[in-house]
Amino acid sequence: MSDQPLVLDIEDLTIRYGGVISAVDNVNLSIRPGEVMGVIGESGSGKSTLAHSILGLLPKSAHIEAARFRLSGRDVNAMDDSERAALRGPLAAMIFQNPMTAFSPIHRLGQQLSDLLWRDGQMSRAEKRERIITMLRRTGIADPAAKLDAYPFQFSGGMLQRVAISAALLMQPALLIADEPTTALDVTTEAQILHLMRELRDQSGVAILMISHHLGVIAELCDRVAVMYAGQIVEEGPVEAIFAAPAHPYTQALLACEPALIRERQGRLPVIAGEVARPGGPGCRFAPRCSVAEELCRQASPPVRPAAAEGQRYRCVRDLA
Amino acid sequence: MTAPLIETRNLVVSLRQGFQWPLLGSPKPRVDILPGLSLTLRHGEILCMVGESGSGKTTFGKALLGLANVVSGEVLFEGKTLADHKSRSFRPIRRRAALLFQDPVSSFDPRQRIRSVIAEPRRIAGLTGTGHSEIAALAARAGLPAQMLDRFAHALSGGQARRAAVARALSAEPSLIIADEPTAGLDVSVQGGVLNLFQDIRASQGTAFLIITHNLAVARLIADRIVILYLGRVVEEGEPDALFAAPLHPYTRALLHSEPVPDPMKRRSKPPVLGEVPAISRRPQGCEFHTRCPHAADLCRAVAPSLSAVSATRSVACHFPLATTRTDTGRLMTRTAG
Repeated sequence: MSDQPLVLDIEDLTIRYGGVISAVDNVNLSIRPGEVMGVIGESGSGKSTLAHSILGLLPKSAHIEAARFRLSGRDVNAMDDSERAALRGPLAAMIFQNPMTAFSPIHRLGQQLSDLLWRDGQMSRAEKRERIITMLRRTGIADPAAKLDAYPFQFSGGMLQRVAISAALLMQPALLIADEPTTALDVTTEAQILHLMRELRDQSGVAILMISHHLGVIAELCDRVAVMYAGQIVEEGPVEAIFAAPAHPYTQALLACEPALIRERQGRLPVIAGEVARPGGPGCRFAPRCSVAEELCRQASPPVRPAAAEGQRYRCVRDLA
Repeated sequence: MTAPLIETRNLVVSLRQGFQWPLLGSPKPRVDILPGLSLTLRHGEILCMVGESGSGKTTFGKALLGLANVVSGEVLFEGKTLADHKSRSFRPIRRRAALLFQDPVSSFDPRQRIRSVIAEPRRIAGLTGTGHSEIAALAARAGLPAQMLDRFAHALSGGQARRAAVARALSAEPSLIIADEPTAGLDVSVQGGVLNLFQDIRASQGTAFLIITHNLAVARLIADRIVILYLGRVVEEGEPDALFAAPLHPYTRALLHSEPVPDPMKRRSKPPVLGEVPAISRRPQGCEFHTRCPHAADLCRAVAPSLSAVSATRSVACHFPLATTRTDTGRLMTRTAG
């Protein structure tokens, strides 16, 4: 495995809008083949911006800078738009939060799915159809041949998300980016979709970048997790270590707020006071809401330190290791 | 004993499906969203109604205010039966109840300042005290800083908008607040604040809450009582600790086990329930959960179980409630089948 290049290799990625506000700041992220990497963060943390930048889906107003930006060993930094477009599919594909808006409402699913295989010019219609049917069956769609003639509105949200996953995997990408794929679904359906994603990873070895605000989803599926706050990764490590022994005060506070982790009904529920600070300015971005912030936190940008567990790192002025 | 705040008896809400051309064709079939819901809500109680999409939980909240098409059944408000199901008959309830909408920002008039948004129910109810200081006091009770009152809805953050909506709900001094998914779309770091606020309001003013949610973890922490809905019927009802410790209905247990646990050491090997919620226009025969129930027997496919009390605070609609017949492996006794 070690000779295979990293599926995603990002060093020092900064994304700015309008020159000053950095939505993503100084982010390092790497994903090995077959690995499930989770990115957790609250609204405005930059997790979706990060995910969209990988496929080049950000608006023109976004200014992207990175020391290194590689997909399966290929340097994305140096590519123009059409070269990047060719990467979508074979190297990385994406599923979105709302499957209802991921498909055209006026075309049959069979048509939409075979359009995705347009690059495989030498494949005959029958072959394409066969490949689509196989993929739909693998994602748990019953009677897939009949479903090719159906329109998206004839499916439930959970079923359509399965079709969206098939669509993403049709081109056998090395990396599947999933941006809150279960947020719009009911819990019983969510459990099924998470199970499906893990099964597909085990079978095909596709790496997954899972974006979510839901701690339960991350714990259920991921091997490693990065915690984002206000555009920065504040902690990163193996999922077991992050949930068992979070090092960064934000990760600790986030876990303390999760209703499912509160064992006893006490009077009041925990909150993180204050609001997300606007990115920019000196010091730690979490300092205004941090319960253990000191004077130093507001002046100097905190360094990234190793934590107790192997591969666990956090960004804080205090040395907790 | 005082009468409960609101009681419904066999409340039926239905819609006709599809478009009906005037004077043409036979009437479209009626689809019962709530096929007969009986529920009581006591003074000062926090009742959480939990169910998946399409379970009718939002419809029930609307029906209490006369905002849904109630076809039959009785609604009692403080012991008095409403005369009929016409919208105006619900006015006594509307005067005393407030609705917190799922998306607060879209429930505000974008061209009114938050101050007048909050004052409006008070004016309509004919209450005195719509001046600056009274509105600021209302906002303060909801935890909304006074400087936000001169803003417009779009200039509030998600958490602030929720607080403004709570302030508006409090404005006409209600006995009941119906909150539809009050924490959906809120970050975990701020949702606790909204729920704490509900508990404060209940403690200081004795306001009852009907909280409609799909989030069981939240319901467990704040509810006095939880009602689980499936396809518009109550399948289980009980106090949170008892309900979580030992769910009686297989659907309740499936819901509890479906929620992903934020602990990577407790991963599930397979999803706890298969299939999807059936369409409400094609309700299964017998017990409506039998199509997805791992324990379904012939009886379940033929006869619908009725909601029956297990104890003073607990009831369940199942032929084979879990705690009574479950063996060590968690499987139902198969000899009862057939």
